[in-house]
Amino acid sequence: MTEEVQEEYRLVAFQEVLRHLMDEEVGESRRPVERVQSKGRAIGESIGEFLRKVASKAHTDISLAMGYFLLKYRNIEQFTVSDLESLYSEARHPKTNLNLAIIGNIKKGFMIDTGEKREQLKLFAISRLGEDYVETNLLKPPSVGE
Amino acid sequence: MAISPLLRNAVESLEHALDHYDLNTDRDRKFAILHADQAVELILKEKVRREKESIYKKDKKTSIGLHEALSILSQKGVLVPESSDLEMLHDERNRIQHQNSTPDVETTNFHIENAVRFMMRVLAADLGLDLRQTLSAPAYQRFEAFRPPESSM
Repeated sequence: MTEEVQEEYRLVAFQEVLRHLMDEEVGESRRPVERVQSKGRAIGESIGEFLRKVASKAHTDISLAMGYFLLKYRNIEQFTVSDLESLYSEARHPKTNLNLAIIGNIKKGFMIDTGEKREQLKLFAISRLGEDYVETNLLKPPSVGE
Repeated sequence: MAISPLLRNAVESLEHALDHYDLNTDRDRKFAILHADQAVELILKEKVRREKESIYKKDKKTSIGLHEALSILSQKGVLVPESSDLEMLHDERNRIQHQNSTPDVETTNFHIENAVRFMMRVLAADLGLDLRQTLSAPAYQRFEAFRPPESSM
């Protein structure tokens, strides 16, 4: 009897521990998405519409905002210069030297060089500091009626 | 060999141009062009100086400008393949300086890219400088960003 109780207890305890461990693991990878949902962003917003909310013309800021857009609106965590160039075309935004803009963002700690490559192009990611900068300094609150 | 004050000033002017270029407001694009043109003129003067020619006009009070520098270099048989682009940059600079013109984003991109590539070619190929040794690490990294697409990030 005692052995049976201990076995039942072991099974429940194992399931409980496993659930806890899995929650922790999945929770970390979901974190950015959860943060975004709390911001109440518009689903399906285009890059053009998104850029209209960015309160800066600086190339470093625009490219950072695009990295933010890829992460939050398209769930793309890592991007190449080519990905950003495509967004510029999609937004019909005048292009700039994106290498220079990325270097500027890395210097400020807003982007990181992941050390990985896709199709021989370096992959970059927006840092948490960069996300905070976009949310705090670049994104204008919507005007009345917007 | 020590870097001449002309070259050092040219590099500083171009870095300053890139600061304004990034900020990308109407006013910043003007200053990006003005500083880039200044950098180009200083590099051309350095090339004139290295040809053992004076960088001063006959009155010895004022120094030569971009067109005079190109003319002296041409007389000396020194090839400047970018000369037509550099003259266009100088025209843009004159429109800003004398007519309050405001360059658009694409025009600014064009001139800044040409100015940086010109400087990198001259420093490395014509003057034989090792850019990694000569430039500060941040300046080197920023100028390198303008290398043609096949060799960039």
